[in-house]
Amino acid sequence: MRSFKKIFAVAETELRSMVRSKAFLVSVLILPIVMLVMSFAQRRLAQHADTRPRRFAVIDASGKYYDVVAEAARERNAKLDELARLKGPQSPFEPQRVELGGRPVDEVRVALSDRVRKEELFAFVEIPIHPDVEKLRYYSDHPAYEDLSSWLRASLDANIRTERYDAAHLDAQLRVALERKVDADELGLLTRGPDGRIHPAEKQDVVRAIVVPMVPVFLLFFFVVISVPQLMNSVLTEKNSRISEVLLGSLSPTELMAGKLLGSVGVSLLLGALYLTSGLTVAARMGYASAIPPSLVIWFLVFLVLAMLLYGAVSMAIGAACNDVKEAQNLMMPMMLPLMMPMFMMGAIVESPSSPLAVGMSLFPPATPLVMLLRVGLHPTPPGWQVVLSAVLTLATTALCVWAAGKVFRVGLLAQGKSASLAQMVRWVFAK
Amino acid sequence: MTNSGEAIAINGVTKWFGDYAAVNDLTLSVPRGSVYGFIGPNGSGKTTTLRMTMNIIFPDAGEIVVLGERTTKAARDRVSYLPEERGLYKKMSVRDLLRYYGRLKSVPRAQLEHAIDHWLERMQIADRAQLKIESLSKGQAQKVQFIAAVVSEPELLILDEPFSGLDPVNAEVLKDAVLALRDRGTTIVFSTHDMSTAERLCDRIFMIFRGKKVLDGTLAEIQEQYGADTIRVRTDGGPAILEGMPGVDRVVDQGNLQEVRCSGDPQLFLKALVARTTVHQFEVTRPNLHDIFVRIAQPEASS
Repeated sequence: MRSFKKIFAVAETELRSMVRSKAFLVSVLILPIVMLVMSFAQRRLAQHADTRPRRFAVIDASGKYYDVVAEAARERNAKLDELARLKGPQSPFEPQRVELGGRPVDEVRVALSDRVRKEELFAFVEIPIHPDVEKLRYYSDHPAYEDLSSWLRASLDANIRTERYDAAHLDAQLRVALERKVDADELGLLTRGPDGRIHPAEKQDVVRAIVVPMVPVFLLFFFVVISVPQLMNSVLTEKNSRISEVLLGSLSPTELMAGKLLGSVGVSLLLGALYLTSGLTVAARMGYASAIPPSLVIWFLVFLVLAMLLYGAVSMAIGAACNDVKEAQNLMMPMMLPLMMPMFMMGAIVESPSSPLAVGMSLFPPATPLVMLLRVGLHPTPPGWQVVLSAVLTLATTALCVWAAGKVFRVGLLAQGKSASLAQMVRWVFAK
Repeated sequence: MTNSGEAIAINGVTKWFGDYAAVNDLTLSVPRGSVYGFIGPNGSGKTTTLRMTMNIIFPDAGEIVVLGERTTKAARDRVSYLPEERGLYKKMSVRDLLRYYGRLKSVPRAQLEHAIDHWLERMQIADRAQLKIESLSKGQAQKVQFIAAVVSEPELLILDEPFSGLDPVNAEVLKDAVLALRDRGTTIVFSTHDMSTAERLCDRIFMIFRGKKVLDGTLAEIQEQYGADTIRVRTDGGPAILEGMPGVDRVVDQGNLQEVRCSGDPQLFLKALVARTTVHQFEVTRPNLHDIFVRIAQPEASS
């Protein structure tokens, strides 16, 4: 009982001092600020998009398709405002016909290339005699800008198809029937309610299927990255300022570590609650309230606690073993890897959440909290025993780390001045 | 074996740091209600002994019984420790810090608030209660550290160099507080380099040297061991006149007077001295703690 009271006293003090720190204020504000700045920047960028006319030269070997291109460009330029509403600001396309005039074609190509370089032209294109069997040749210095070339292809394609239908004497209705494409509805699974009635499958959409499960994982990652170094610093400061010696006269290192860990779990839950409340409010306003299942919110909180416990314990052990921040940061690097790994592999996990790799990563620490949180948001949801097992394994690893951190802290206290090697730390952990 | 009259019973305790025995087969008994002084040169094992008593580190051999508890952990809340190197949270207010340290000693809230007020008043820093530690002077911070150690009203108070760095006025305030605690029955163990403080305050003195106990007893008992071989003289000739005189083992120049350790007959020494110079003062006395300390530790320091 006394032990719990002491752990609670440490936790409360840790929580108070963290919440009062500038770092907490920054972590509360940073994400909303970054998001605001980003959306503002995006809007500004869109407003200032390059909408200069795209002038391009056309060498038309067929002799009949330049007019098709010119007409299509005129039609498109007339509808620019409408296009801008759908796809953002657009440039008008302005074709110019170029005649060979008896010159060798390579000479003309070189001359046009020079004009592109001088930015008199944006690109130039060669239309072959039979564009349906030969390729267009599109030359430009902007390989990433595909709007023009794909528009050219689509315009000619539509025209040539019409010619073919005309040649085959097909009437308009038949044309529509011939061009009809196969479409699909992407659905979830059907369920049968307790009353025996069958509930129809719901339509899948990207937000529900991918964005909703990914957001909590990013948030979790963010909280851990924000809170864990603070915890490491607090241990390091206590050790270096000799506060630890006073503390260890009152409670065991394991109690101290457990208290600090609980304190920082409290801080991250507080942060989590703040973000969840504002996140859910925003989602509700955008009409996505129903897309966020309450179970996901609960899982988020569960795995947030687990992640803070696990990574907090490891970082405390590192803080206890080091003498200065720089050294501790070097040791933190290998610890951040298991945190980063799920972020890099998110795509693969989202695509097949029950692959052996995803299952393995979600069951066995150190990446457990992030990967399992991602999996519980995705379909197919992991079986209950896997979720429980991952929580148990994470807790076991946490307990091990708290105990080891306490050991390292006690010995590291006396070994001031020089830092411990990894081998030394392992020896300390297993020493009496 | 364990006497309920003992605050600390150290039995055959050894602590190794690598190949070096910081404390070597130490046995010591600190009676309840006493003021016990730990002295010894730097690195002789004082702090290691205190830390082992506080359960911060563990002995490799032997046993330490604190307040009758074989596991020192059980006695934790009844023992307080003021470490030599002070540790306070700079960003915390004085009151918050004292509350925190008090709670870690399981002091009930109401009693804790009362004790904090009492001690802040007593140490003359009540007006600093709401300030952050970082804004305090060094002396004030040291007082806060002391209060943090006594706010739980411990039965055993361990102070590692409590007076170092304090000005005489603050040292006096602290000394009075220590004595008041003793009067209330608190056992006090403190380590110090200041021999005169140890002589004035301590009921018993323990000296550790190279990890081994070299002195243990009351001041009178210790002085008895070293006999009455110290002679204080004040002469016109000063320290120079004492050089090379028969029977003189060692001369400590104290400025206006000299302390002479004499192995021969003091009367013969006085006769020889009178023959050489005018003698204003001649006093056969016991060596003080400082002399005894130096006698034990000198070979080490000079080697």
